[in-house]
Amino acid sequence: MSTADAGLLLAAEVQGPARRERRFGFRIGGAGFLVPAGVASEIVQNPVIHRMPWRTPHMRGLLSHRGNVVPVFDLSALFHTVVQSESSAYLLILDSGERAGGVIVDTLPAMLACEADEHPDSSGLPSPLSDTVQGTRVAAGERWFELDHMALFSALARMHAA
Amino acid sequence: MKSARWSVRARLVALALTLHVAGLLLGAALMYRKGSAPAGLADALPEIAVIALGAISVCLVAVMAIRRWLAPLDRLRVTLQRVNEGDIDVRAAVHTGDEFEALGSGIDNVVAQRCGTLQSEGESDRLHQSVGAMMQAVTRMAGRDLSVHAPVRNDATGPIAEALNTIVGDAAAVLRNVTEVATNVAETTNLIKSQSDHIVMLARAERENLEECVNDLEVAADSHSHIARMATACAEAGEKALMATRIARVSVQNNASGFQSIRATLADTERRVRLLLDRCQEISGAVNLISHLTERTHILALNASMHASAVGDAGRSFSAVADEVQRLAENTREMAAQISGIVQAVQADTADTVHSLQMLSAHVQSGTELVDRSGRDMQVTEEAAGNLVDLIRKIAAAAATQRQISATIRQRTTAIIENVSRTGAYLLGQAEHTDDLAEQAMALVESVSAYRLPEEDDGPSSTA
Repeated sequence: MSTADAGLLLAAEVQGPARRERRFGFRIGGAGFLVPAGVASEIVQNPVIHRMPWRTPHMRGLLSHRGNVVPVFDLSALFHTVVQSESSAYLLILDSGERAGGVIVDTLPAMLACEADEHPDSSGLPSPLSDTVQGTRVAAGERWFELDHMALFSALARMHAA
Repeated sequence: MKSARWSVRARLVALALTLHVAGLLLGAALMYRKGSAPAGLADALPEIAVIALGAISVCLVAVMAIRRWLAPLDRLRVTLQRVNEGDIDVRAAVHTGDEFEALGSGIDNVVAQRCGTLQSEGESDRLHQSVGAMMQAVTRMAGRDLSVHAPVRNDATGPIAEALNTIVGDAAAVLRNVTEVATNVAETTNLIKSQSDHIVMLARAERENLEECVNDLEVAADSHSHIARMATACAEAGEKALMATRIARVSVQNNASGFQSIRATLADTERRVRLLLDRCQEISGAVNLISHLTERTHILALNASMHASAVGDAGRSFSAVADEVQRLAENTREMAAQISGIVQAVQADTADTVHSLQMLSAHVQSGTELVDRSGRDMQVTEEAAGNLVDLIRKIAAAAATQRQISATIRQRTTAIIENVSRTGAYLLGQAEHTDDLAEQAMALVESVSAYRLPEEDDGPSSTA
């Protein structure tokens, strides 16, 4: 989704019915994910990510962000897609403080007006994303997965520890 | 011979008796043989042969005796015959002692007496005969018989006959020579006439050929005149072509200058287009910078929006402002993208223009080279046209000279035709004269042929 599409969706949400809920949407490996509007904290362009030894393929490294060490994950490896270059990717930092974690996204996030999915289906997502998705919603005619970022970070930490 | 003293009668009687005896003997022998009755024919042959041989011997003896006895008679006959022929000096001179001697003596006496009387008459007769013979010869000579030879005798007519024979012989020789010469003249005249006729025929053919030659020369003169006029026209056309070539060469040189100017203009245009391409590149850089700033603005507005959303209701108004900034940034980014696309299109078009200008410059370069080459070719063509004009002028002059020469040749040929005609007329007159000469020669031969000439091998015939 381009930023223009995101703007249009934002305008539709503002003028849409009341049952629509606002979410930040972003894409990883072509799949759309949603987080609550208050969770997303910041977009970092051209981040300086420090690599760490013994990292897993989906672990990009560590980022020093406003005095906090933020782990950065590249989940596109889970989708077996081509890993974007580190310089051209956008880094979305979710949450803040010690709960913050970075995720490499395909495009800039956008505010979306989402509706409930009458036929929820989260199959096809790779693990551990399939275990951290709480449901699906529809926005702009597409299916988006509601992501529990804390469960995702915990699962990734376990995978890195293993 | 003893028996010669016998008289002729006695001799004849003796011979008759001898023959009679021989006949009796032969008859007796035959009778004897009939009575003896020989045994065969082979036994009787020797006897028959002896009898036949004896009879033949008797007959031969009888014949020889008769001839011997009658020999004085032949002498007397010959003597008389010679006397009758005028030979009075001949004598019988028979001395047989028989009747023939007496007869011969009598004939000799008569002839001697006759000789005395005829001695004087003989000379006058011989002279008369000589004159007569000579007159006969002269008569035959008068009859154009030059083969006659007058008899030359030992009398007064001898020198006259010799002189006459000499004159006639010379005249015959002269006439023979005249005949030969006249014959040769006739043959030569005929030969000359045939040659003259042939020459007349050749002269006629020559005149016809010369007349055709004159006609051909007239045609050639007309052709030369036509060639001269055509050459003059060609020279004028060549001069026009030369002028046109010069004008074309100047035009080509001007075109070359124009091509040079076009090349310079194209080079300047290419330089300017390259500058425009650089400007486009600069614009593209500026647009990229705008896009970068717009993206940063967009991210900044997005972060602001997310922070405002995290605050909750307190950040709602700030979130609206952030969204508006984000929207402006998005619009700016879209405009920058459009400008970037336009600049890229301009850059592509400009690059195509530069390429086209380079191609055009290359074409102009090749065109300039072709024009330069055309100019050089035009110069060569101009020189060739000039040479061609000079050659055509020379051809025109040569054609005019040839026309004059043809006219002169035609005049001379006409004069030759007149001379040939005169020659033919003279030859015709000569042929007529030759015919007359041949006729006269033939008449001379005919007139000479009236004379009978002696054969060359034989001497002249004598009339006596």
